Amino acid sequence: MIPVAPPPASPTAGLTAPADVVPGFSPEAHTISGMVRAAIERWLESVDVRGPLLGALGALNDVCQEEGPLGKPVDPGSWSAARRFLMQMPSSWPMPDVSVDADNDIALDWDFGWRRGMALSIGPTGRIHYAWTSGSDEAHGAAWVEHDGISAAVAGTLARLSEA
Amino acid sequence: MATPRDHLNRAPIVEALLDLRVRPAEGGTTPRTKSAVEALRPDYPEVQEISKIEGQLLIDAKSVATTHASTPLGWQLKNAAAGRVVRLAQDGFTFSQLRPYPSWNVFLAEARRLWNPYASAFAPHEVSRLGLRYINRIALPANASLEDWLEAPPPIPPQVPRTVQRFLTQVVVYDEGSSASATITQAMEQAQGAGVTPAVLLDIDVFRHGTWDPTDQQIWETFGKFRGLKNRMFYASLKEAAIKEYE
Repeated sequence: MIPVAPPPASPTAGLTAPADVVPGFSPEAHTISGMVRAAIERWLESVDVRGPLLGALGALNDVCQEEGPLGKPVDPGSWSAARRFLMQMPSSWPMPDVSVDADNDIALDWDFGWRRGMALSIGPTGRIHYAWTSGSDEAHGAAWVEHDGISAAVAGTLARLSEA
Repeated sequence: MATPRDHLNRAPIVEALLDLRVRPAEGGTTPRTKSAVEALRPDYPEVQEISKIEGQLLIDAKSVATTHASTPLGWQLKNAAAGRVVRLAQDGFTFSQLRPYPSWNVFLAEARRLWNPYASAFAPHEVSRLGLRYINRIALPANASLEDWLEAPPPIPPQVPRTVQRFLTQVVVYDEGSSASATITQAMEQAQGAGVTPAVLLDIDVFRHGTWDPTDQQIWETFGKFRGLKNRMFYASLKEAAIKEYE
């Protein structure tokens, strides 16, 4: 038997998020990273499972080209962290609306119906601030954009709201 | 599974890496962070600044626009003669030992020695991830059969040609005992020419997320546990015939 259930506290990562390994310096390390990257790219090219993701990344590029509410472009660090977050999302998850919030951070919004949704903002350091509403319940919190996947707190909330 | 040994005289390790990811302090690279470089420069004379370069390419019907920004991240220091590289950056610390690998005690002691000036100079808020990665190069003799060398070779259905030109497998597993995960990668490239020995790369990366104070001694005890897990996975991944080549 090979159980596949993840441990409760582990980050969630979709198939387009390669495993996060310590970057190496040897020729063998470069060989492995090149083979992994090529395998993922070929897989992405061979099946159209990432159409919604590419749409979200396009929207992210669009909003980052324009001046945000603070009169300056979005910090490249925010763009990079938001892109990593989107790439880590499992393909079964709904894609969010992408915009720039009042602090010039990247805002991702999911609307699952009347008084049910989640909003999060991603800043240049990869810090995530999120808030969600579900009926009369509301909560907010903070997390980080991790290299290995989406934090359990954010992933669990999103999964619960989208399945409710 | 091969029988675990205490020591392999000719261990197939081509690179060992010890990595600590951190939540950075505010302020970016500063003269104070540079002091770590100066402290280590006598032993690591080749210094290279590393930056994070973010670029965007926007293509529409009328034009192509690009933007990019470069942010200093830290430094990479190298001692080529000793086969050692250390990365000191805002987001973390990495120590790499290339061939020849000395021993666990020597490797760990050097990593700890290098960590101290890094932690003092960069003053990270906390350590958020520990990682220990070993890349092994397992040479295959002529006409070798993968199943005689690997405990988990890539499965090939019957009646499919058996000659493997290249393969890549990767699994991420979780060990409840140590609360650590491990990414185990096996890769074989197509032979690059006559006379080149084919080899399988066995790459074991053990890691754990958490929150540690940068001065916490438990960090180094955890790396010791990671090493035990890594060794268990190494011997479990290879057949006895493979290990005998490295005794």
